[in-house]
Amino acid sequence: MMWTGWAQRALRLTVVLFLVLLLTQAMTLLVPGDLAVMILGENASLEALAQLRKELALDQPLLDRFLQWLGAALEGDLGVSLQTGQPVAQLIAERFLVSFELMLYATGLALILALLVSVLAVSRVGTWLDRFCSFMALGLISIPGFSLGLFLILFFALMLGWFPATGYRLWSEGVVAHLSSLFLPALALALVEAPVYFRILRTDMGETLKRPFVMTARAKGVSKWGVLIRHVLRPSLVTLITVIGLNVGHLVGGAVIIETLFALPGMGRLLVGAVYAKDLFLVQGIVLVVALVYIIVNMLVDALYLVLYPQARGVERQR
Amino acid sequence: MRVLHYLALIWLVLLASLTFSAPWLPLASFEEMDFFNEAQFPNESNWLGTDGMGRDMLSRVVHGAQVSLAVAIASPLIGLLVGGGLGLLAGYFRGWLEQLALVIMDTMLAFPALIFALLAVTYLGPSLVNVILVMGVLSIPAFARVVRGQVLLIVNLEYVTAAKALGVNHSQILMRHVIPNIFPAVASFFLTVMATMVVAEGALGFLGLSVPPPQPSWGSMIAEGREYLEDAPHISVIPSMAIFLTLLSLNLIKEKQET
Amino acid sequence: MALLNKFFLLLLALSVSGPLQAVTLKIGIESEVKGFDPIKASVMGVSTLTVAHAVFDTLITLDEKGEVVPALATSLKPVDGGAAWVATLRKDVSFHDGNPFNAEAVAFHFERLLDPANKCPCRGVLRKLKGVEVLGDYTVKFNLEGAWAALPALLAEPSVVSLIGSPAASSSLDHDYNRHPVGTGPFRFKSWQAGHRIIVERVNNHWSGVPVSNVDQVEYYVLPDQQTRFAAVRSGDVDLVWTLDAPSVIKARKQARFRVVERTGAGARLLLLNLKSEHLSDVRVRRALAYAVDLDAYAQHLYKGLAPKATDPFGSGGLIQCGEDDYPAYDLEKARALLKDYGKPVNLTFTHTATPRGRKTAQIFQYYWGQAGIDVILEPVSQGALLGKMLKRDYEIGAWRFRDSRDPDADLYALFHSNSPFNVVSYNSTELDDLIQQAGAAQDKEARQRYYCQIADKIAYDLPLLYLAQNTYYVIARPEVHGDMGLLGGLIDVRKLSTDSK
Repeated sequence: MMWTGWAQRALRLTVVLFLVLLLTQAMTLLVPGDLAVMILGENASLEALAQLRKELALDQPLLDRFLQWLGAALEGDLGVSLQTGQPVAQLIAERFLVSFELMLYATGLALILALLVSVLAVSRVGTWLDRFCSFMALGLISIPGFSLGLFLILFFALMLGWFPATGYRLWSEGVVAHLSSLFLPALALALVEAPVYFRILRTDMGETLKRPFVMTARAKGVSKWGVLIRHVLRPSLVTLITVIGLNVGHLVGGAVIIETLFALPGMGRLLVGAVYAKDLFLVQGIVLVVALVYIIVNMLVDALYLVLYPQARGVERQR
Repeated sequence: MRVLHYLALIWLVLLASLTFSAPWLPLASFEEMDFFNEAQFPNESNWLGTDGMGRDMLSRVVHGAQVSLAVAIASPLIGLLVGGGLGLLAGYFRGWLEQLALVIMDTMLAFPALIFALLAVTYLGPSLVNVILVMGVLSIPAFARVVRGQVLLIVNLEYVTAAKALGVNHSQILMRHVIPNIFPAVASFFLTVMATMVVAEGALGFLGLSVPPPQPSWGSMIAEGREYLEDAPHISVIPSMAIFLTLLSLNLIKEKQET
Repeated sequence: MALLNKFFLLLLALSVSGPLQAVTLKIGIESEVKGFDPIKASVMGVSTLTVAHAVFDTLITLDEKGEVVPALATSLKPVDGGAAWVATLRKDVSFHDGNPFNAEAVAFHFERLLDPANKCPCRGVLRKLKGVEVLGDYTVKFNLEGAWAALPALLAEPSVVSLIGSPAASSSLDHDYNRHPVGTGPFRFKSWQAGHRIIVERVNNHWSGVPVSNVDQVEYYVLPDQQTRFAAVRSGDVDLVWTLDAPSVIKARKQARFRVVERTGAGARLLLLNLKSEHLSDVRVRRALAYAVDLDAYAQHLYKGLAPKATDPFGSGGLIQCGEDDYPAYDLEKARALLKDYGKPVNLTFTHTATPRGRKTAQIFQYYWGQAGIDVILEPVSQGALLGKMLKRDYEIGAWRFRDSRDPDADLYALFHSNSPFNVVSYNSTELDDLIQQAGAAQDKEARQRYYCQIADKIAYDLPLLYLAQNTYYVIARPEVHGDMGLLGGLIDVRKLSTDSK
């Protein structure tokens, strides 16, 4: 059955999620000194400390604490932030939407760029244009993302003034304003991913072009572009989907520097602040969300792979 | 293209030699501040200019290279030895060992890298050794995956199954057949990881989590140059160029090696 | 297709239209607001108070000479030889939730802060206040333990204790007062998106009369990064920003269209030396630390000559002026000699905030102290963590500031008096304790000046701290913004600001 392999993976990934969360819980052991004292301060009364210890279940063994937290989490209660007293779930939800949207925007831009350039390069296989595209991709890969972000700000915002250097605009403030406030950060992220996608596409498409069925299609009179788009592209999406899956997972929590540079209220900045402030519930909540996204996306990619390439059934996706 | 490959090699060799000989070179001090000479563009007395606190950029780039190179070499080694070993065993022996290894790898991959790095540096304290350890640990699952993938390709080949049937013991098979065959792909991946390490250390430095002052690092230099972006962009551009050239060289060499 | 056209037209309309009619003022502030409840948010920084200042009023304010100006109270007078003060309250004032502002509300506010069950760290600030008594519907009496000339300043300046909130709101179990403040101010709290912005909207019929300002709504944007904040005001994303970043100020000044408002206030920014730590307990080491640093160069670098260095707790913008002082001037040789005399090798940990300003200060001082032969390890932490560590005395070198206040009593007591919970340097000097008490009790201005100058000398001699610079605040505003920014205490006063932009 095609899906048993998938189900096995799904099961394993669930175990992984459990372990990740347990690990996060274990982080509390790393906190030097008494956690309750750290939160309330030394001047807190003994009753207040006892109360907080009870709430945080600090006296109980790690596993019990974990299960308690997990139980609450399943009901949507991720605790409150030690910094502001806000419910963690609410905080994360607000920021998650921003990060998620940024990730979609960036991946979309990257895909469009990569597709356009790779189709262009492949249509002129072997010419200087093809080699130039590859070289540019290599160059782009070699620029660190944070430098890219900085220079984008320098050129497009400070020098040319085409886009806002900072400041996140909500949807309610206007569609154009919202999208343009996210454009530079999305572009910064996209320019980092795009060359990777390009190289994958270009290599795969190059390989596929040499296959016999392409010659057959050409012989039948299908135009060059028709061949490219209909016959070459689809098989080439294999590795691409895998890589996108990997990227998406960690983009949601990891675009810290871009968020800092552009002052976006995203998850990355929330996370850094939480770790610095030792806001344990918030950190745990964020890890849960990020790990969950990563795992769900991976499972989706696996399923997509099976749908697109039924001939691969029974064989586990080579990762 | 060949010219480029040679240039790449030259850059890397130059970088490495400058890094190792730094203490003996006639460079200016990398920590001496000169508030009346801040943010100067490259000139006769400071060949690469000065940063926001008047410190010599050339000296800081060279000393910063020490950190970048140390991380670029040592961290992937950790990943290779631990992760590669894990992947080797998983791919060769299969069965429950492989399942266990996959679970461990997936867990490490699902745990957000940034959180791990932040936590580790926050609790262990920022130092070169800790940064190398953290980066090394983070590269373990990637190496495990790649090595396992390569091993899976090799293990079904005829001469390997033949060797097994003949009763040749495992370590001999691994040493004589498996490892030499996976070597090219793994070496290529090693170069990729080296490049990633340079950027990752830069990112940590940008966030202030890398080696603490007064030791310069390329990432923290870029971060410090942010506020001078409009008036003295060289403070951010020069370390960015250093990272760029290093990455480009590594990537070019990797390309050469793959063909 | 027609449907599609309509859809696009709608999109176009949505994107082009802005907010409907309200005149909005957008302000960029530096840090996230912690909360508005004094009991939960134990320390309120400049950002928090800037926002709180729009939503709350104080009982009185002080003018430049330190004289009382009515606000929520129409008069404040000492009685019983200064051992108590009586305030007459303004009538016909209500809180934003409709409840009346009266003597009961005021008494409730202060009693709540003083109540030991609430464990408010602010009790240290209210040290001489025994209680607040209701004398009539609109009269209250502040009962003190002895004369306390600093009370008016305490009640006048926006701080964790002086902003009067609605008793109904602060005592209600359903209402999250910390995140939904209810005061009597000219603006009402509207919404708060954590880490992003806080919106307040104008209230009609505020007791201060017809508003000078045309602003209907104020939006405070949290922009911790200095570059980002400056970029935001340049591009018009916000109308004005609060900043301490000298390069931004210089650039803004070069472009004539920006308005730069500056205030060098009272108080000072400082580093604290934990007197209980091994090396710092010896005054020679502390003196060496002071002599080793070229404060003029530091001020030149960090503030580009815009803000003067500090050598006493009072600053050039305060009411206390002491003239010449004995604080150590830059002398590297002296520093080295002191260390040689001390004999043992010195290594210290400098705990600082992980912000660009914090890091720069740390690196610069690390460099200077290194020149003198002291090995310094830097420990970057978040602002909250720094405060936490200092309160637990778990640090060697930390940071602090004396506020830009008309009266230095509260801050000096808090940091240096041996009974104060905020005495994080563990300074124990009966001489200084006495001086602080006397200065606080003295009613005569000249006597107070004398006492404070003696305090400054003692501090410069014992060196439980190192001065960094004075409190200089800047606001960079776009040309459309008019009006007086205030900036006392570093707080932007929105009450008098108007804007031409929508």
